Amino acid sequence: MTERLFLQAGHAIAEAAIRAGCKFYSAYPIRPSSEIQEYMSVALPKAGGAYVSAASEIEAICMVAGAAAGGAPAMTASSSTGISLMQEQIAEAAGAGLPLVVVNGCRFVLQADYHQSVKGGGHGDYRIPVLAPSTTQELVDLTTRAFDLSWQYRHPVLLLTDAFMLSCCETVDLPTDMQSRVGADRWAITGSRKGSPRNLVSHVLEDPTSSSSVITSGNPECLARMRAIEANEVLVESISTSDAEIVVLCFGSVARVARTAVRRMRQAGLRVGLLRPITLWPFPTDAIATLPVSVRTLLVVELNRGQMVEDVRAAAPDQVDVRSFAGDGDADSGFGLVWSVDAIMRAIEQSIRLPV
Amino acid sequence: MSGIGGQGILLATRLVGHAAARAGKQCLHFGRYGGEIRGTECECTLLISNSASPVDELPVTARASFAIAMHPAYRERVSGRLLAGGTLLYNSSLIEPFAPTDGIRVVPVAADAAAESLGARVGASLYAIAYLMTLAGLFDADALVAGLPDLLPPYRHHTIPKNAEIIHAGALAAGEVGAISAVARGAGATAVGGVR
Repeated sequence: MTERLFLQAGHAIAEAAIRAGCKFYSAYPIRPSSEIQEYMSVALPKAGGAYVSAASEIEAICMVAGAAAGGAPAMTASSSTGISLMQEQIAEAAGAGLPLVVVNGCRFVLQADYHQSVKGGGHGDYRIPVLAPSTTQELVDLTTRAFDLSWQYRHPVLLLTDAFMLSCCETVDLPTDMQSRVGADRWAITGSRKGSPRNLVSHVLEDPTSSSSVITSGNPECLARMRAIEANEVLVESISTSDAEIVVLCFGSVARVARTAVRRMRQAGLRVGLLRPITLWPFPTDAIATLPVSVRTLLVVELNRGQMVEDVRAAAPDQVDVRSFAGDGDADSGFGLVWSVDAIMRAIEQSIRLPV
Repeated sequence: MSGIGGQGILLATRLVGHAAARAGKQCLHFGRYGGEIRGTECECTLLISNSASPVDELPVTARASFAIAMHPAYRERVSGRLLAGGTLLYNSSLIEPFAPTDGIRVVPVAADAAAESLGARVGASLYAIAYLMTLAGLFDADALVAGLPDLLPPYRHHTIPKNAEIIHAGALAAGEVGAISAVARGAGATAVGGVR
């Protein structure tokens, strides 16, 4: 069951998190993520959870990691520079197997944090799932999925949003049922009781119940989780690619505009398709590598200086020409921080005309 | 809708979004603001769609059907983004009469003065939005008032009766003028609802 509400995007994330079972939230305010904190500060305690206003981003992520180690579904949110400050603890959480959700509301330029998010901004040999919504409804759906993934795999998950989508209010359908993750935390540190197992949550201390040495084998548990996520959790949206000659690749806010551009060019008779990674890690490498042979050009449209294009080039078949359309957006979009429909259509037309 | 101060613009436009959602429409609202509390511009845009699927467009549309300018500093920029045949409501309490662009309907409404006469000048945005929604035949006063409890924080709920009074007054004033479709005929600019 769902209910339709008109919500500010940050509030929609917060409400979705609460309904997904979030029981702890801590953050330090920063635009454009502050509305998540604003909503959580009021609504989470009413829902039986705990909210703590932090004095810094480092403090916030450490408290969230501590809550997760204690078995509480936990979340924090920040923006770009604040996420940079959190990276050490996110890396530690990945190594220790802590299920926590981090939301990045990327500031200006809107997709400049692709590398930070996808390549693992912290230390060590780790990756975390990165979910990239493109509408307010997807902010809701993927927040729920972030909690599901993080608890299924005991691994941090990042929701990569931006200032554009977090400044919107939109009609969304929210699940009416509250999820509970009680009982899924048998590994958690919840205090010693007679007969209870001795739990250890750490990425550096050796677990006496484990068959392998965490320190000497490079954290095989973390590696196994990442391999399972890579194998099972790729999400991608594909529109009109089956007979396309040119396919637009984009994520997040750009996809919202690019869908319209592709639809209009299809109506004009051009064989254009769209492929949108919803998970930026794991990256939909197979979906790109197995595009139909009709595809001659991949046009990667981004709001940065060209970051995802590197992953597309690595995945694309040799015979496919990969082009980048990247930058800060254009004035025709109304406020200059995103690409307008016309700008993307012009980029597609230019790619069609250019010799391969 | 553009003005300074910020919260009034945000609340007024979100009330329309709330009413649209309650009417089963898809609605996308975008607010651009920053240092507005110190007097810079706050601009909000709203797309309303009858489609069942979410709006696949930018919320900051380059060309709008309706616009409201509350402050003289940003009147020109807002009116420049109207579609031909579009309607600009401007706050004639602060904005001097001007020569409108051909094909644009202008509606001067003394929103600040009207809200002040009701005892709350900060409600000028609500007066203006209720006036335009009624004039355009989009949402009546009750549909707008219905969003106040959801969109105002609990510590502001004591303002709901006064806000509702201002919204009803704006709608009533527009109703006395008549719907746009009835008055705005012919080419070029057409002024309705007050003295230009």
